[in-house]
Amino acid sequence: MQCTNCKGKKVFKNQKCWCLDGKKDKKPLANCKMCGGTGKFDSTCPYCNGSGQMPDMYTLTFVNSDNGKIVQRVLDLNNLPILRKTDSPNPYKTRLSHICRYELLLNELLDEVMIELGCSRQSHFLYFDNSPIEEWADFGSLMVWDSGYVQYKREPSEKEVEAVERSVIASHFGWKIGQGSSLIWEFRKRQTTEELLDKLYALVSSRGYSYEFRVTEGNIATGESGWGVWLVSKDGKERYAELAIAYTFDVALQSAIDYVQKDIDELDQRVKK
Amino acid sequence: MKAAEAAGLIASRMSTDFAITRTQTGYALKRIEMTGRKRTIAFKMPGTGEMTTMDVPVFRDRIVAEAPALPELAEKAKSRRR
Repeated sequence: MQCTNCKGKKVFKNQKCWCLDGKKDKKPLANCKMCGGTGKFDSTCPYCNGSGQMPDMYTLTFVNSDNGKIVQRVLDLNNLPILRKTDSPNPYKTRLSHICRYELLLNELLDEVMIELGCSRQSHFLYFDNSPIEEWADFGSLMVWDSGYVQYKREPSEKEVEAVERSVIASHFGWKIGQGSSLIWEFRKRQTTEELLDKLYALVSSRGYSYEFRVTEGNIATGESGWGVWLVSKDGKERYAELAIAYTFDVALQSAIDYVQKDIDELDQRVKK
Repeated sequence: MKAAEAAGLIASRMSTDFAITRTQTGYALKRIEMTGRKRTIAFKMPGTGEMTTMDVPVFRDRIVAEAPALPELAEKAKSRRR
């Protein structure tokens, strides 16, 4: 199907360059890496990676890393999954309320998969692209609404809902493919919160840094509030590095552990002892 | 109360300028305070590669509560709100 983001354009041309932002003289930087001093740049659509197209079918693969067991689910845009229609209009009170009454229950899909794989939210973290994620980030209840902000002031027809459903599924999974990711999610055995904190403490304190880790409020790129894990000097005066940002406490801790384990050599070189 | 739940409770009680750290004996809850001083940092703009400097505020931590476990720390945080 046509890319839901660029609508087949492939490239967004003549975008205003970031180097002009906040500049009073409105002159681009001569050596700007983005625009080369022209003030404008072309940007390939990140959803389809410049192909203008998105797949019609998505095979979602789930792996239990304990035993290598695999379960797959197929989302076929020509044979759409059934939506749940809520009885009452959505709580957002927008003029989109009619279309927003339809949901695709990806959380139920994940529940079924977890049963088949012998995993649970309490015993496993869900990983995507080698990073732990909140399972609802990819498998929440997906609101079927029109990304083009078409305002349905009436009950939409079956065809209209199907068109929106196709677009929503393609946007939700298609951009991951556009970014070069495979649609593979992995369940990895998780530790309790206390064990995660102990592990991170042991990892950081074993390095002999003059820094400690601290967990505080983290600002997520969406503007929402979550948890952040930082390396900070013991007197709190100097923040060294952000180790992780996540919506939930445990995922932030696990991300920080993964980051420290992966980049320990680099951290050793850069962090004051 | 579970540890992650306790952390959420601390966050709801302490607003934004707090930090939880792990100590040898348990956990410390710190208030992040501004010192009023600033220091200059130099960095490369990620998009453009331009070197630039900016003044950033200097903070310090003040321990407001300590406890051997997070649920106890959350209990203590209740009485240490600003």
